[in-house]
Amino acid sequence: MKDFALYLGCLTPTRVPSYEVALRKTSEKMGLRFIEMENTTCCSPMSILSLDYFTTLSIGARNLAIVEEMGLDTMVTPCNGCFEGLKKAAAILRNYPETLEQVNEILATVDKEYKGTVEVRHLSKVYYDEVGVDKIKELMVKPFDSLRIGIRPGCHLMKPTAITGIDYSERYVFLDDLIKATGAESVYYKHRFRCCGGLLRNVSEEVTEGMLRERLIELKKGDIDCAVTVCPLCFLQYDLGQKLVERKFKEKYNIPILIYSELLGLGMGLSAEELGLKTHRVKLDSVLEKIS
Amino acid sequence: MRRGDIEITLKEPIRSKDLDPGFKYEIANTYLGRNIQACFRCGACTGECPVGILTDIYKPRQIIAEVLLGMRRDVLTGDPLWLCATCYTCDDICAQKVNIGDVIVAIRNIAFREGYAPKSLVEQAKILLESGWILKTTASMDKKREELGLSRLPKKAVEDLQKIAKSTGFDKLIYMKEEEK
Repeated sequence: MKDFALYLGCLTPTRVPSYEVALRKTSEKMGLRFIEMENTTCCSPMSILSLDYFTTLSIGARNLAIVEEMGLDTMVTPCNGCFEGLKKAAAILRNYPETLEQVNEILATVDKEYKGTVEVRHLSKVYYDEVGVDKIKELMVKPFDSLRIGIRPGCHLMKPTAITGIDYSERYVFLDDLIKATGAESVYYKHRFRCCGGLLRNVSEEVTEGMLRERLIELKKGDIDCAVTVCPLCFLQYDLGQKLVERKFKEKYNIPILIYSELLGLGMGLSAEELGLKTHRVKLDSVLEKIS
Repeated sequence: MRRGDIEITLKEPIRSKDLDPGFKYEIANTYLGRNIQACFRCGACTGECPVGILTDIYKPRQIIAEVLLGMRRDVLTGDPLWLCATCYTCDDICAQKVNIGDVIVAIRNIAFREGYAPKSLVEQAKILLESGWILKTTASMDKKREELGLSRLPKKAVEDLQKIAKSTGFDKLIYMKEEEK
């Protein structure tokens, strides 16, 4: 398998370090080789794109140029925000040579040039396409067959489809297969692809928490043991945000949330301690008991 | 009012002298807003919008319609523009491929240039330009990372970022806005 440039983004290393632990500890067993990227910056996500498109494109191009400098052609990121933003930047820069030229004039001021060759992929899709369901099945040593999981793909893994290139429907998505590969059941529940409101936290607490509450209610109705996501922002919403919603609305949900890489780690036999799962705010005891 | 009575709400009429018919071209001339004139206002975007379902304040169709009509000031200065969660559900559902999520971003870009962006987003941009991260990093983050066996947070290329922001004129807009207003 070829080498991938690893772009962690901001949220994973700062706010969800257990995601980083899990992706690092599981990658070797799966035969994935990640090469660290140096001197990167934040991807300039949706909140900054909302202020200025061209600056965002230029910052994105700078990060993509680093991948070319490393002699690689594929960037892998565990973050939905980085994925959608950088994939969109890469697509625009590949399809519009004039825009690429304008961006390179900006990049010249920092001694960089982007040639437009980099492909941006989400970690979960690399699990699916490169490692594959069969290999993941082989690596699982823990019995997950009693586990009912509700997936939370997160919006920017899939939408807009024209950019992400990932097909989805209310009934099926590749993440279902990835969950099944661990032996667990992927439970269909209502509105599992609907937005958790994460990106509105900075703009309106009322709206973000109202949206999250609806998602939590739907998950609860799905009668699941835990939710699993691949998005660090979804994770923060469902973990820390869940606590905030519980306090605000005086309700109890107790929905444990895991990141898919953490689920893989547990399945491969790594302990909750090794994976740093104590950093989660919502207790995982019920899940850990079920798989012990 | 009794049940069954009809409530009559009087709203201010839209007056043509207040409209800016050029507004839609302003949006259509941007890359992200290029498809706005394809909208036939079916409202599918609004029916599926997770924010619209919850709040009643934000309706993508209304914003698009206001732009097409030329209600420039209302759109740029109003709160609804910033309540899109940018989930892009509307993009995938749109029969006319208007790229509504992107259109909203294109409108926001103009609102920002004219000083109407929410303070919280401008503050976030400052954090980005000063640290290279999208959020404030703290010593406790490094401590937690160390406990988990991870390396310290890497340094970000802040100088490059600032040079880029200077070249595009972004830094000026971020730092001068408050006095200008």
